[in-house]
Amino acid sequence: MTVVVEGLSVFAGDRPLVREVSLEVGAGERVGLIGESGSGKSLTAASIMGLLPDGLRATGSVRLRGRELLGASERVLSRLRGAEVSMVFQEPMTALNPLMRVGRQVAESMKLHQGISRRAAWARAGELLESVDLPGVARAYPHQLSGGQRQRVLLAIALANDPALLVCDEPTTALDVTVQAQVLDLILTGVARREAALLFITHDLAVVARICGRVLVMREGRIVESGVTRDVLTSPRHEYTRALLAASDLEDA
Amino acid sequence: MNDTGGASVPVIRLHEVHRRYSRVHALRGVSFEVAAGRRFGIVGGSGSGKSTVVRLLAALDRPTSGEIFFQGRRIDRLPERRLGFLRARLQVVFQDPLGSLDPRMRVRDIICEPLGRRNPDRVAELLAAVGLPGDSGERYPHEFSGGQRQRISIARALAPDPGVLVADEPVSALDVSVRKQILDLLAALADRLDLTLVFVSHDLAVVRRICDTVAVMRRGEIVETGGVAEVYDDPRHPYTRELIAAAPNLRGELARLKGER
Repeated sequence: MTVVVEGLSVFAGDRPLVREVSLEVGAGERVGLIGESGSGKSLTAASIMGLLPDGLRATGSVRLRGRELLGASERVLSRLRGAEVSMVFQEPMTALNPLMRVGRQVAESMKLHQGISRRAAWARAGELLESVDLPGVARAYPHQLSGGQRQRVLLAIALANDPALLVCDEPTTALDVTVQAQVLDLILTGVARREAALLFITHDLAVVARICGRVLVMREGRIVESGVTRDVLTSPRHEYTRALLAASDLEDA
Repeated sequence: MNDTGGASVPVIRLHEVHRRYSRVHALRGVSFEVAAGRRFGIVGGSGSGKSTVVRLLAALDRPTSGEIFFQGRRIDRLPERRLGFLRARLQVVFQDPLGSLDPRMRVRDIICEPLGRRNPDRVAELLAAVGLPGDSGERYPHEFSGGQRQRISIARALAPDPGVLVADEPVSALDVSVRKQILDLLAALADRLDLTLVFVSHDLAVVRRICDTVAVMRRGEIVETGGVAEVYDDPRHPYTRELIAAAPNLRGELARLKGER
């Protein structure tokens, strides 16, 4: 297993926000995490990334290729982040440096983690941008790009060091419908090519149905149902999963 | 429905409306009419100009050229002091219920804002109409969930008994679990109160659920307009086809999964 989470709980003071969450994602596997806002899905992702906000405390275990991440030093975590595990967020503008050309932002991550030369990193950045259908934009600044293009730059950065695990938190929610499909396809191609594990967080059941082999349903910090996507979405067992499905279907009378 | 007497006068009419900002040509000759009692959807991506249309309809902005009529009366050149009739008859519900509700005001005062005076009876009536508990008026916006806050915005919009409700992405910031409830509430209110609805969204499925007519916008232009079933089932413009093909479709995906069994 690429990542194994066992009994993960996240507390704000004494108040549990995530309760005893366990999940696994193997190489090449695509797992969806669904639930409404406040269900704990983003905090679960943040715990895996070692990016919990100040004041929150996690207990349990998060192991990436056998290495324990909970309680690891920031030095160790920052070496892993962007290399072995990387993430794509919902809001592509805030995650890019507005003052730096996008090609350099892709290159920086490789220089940092792979120790390759500036010239080699720049050349590789161009290839990576091309692989997300952005040929010739390396010299552009973020504000010169559309939302969908910026999200693809972030995907290029996330994939730059061939991570073992890619975590996506609502990566297409802020994008236009026509751009969403394209970005999803690029995410799928990117992880497939690297046989990376994918943990995909969304509120959109149609997207999960389309791309994830397994799915976990979270509510109030707990996983209330999990299994093969086909089983969970076509014959849900938990009342909450059924309610989510009913609420998501806008075609009924 | 309208006070000019002629049944054929549309509630809203835009004729060749352009809106240029310093560097952006946001609307490029937009024309449409909305008849009384219609549920008119405007769908398009970001930058399509749909939010500009909302601002112009509410006279929060003026067109660079073209004409905008409300119940037969031209509104695009009126000074603010003569827009009182429009503010009473056309109200807007915005996307983000928290951002548009003053956190320091009690809900009863928020709801009475468009009336300019307190009216406890009207507050009670409106709270009931949008399905909020009777004691909600005494509380503050932060004490409510996202869906409940959008109910408060709807109650406020309905306070002056407007006749026309413009909803700008009213469910886009809401969780899936409450989105359908708010859509169905808007539809029920439109029915019961004989409202004309202008509903703006990037989400095709949402527009299809609530509207009878739809206009598809792209880059400041309406590329296609017609009855909802007609446009969705037999789209003519390539962009409409692209939108429909790209939209995630839960029923379609579930049918595919079942087929794999």
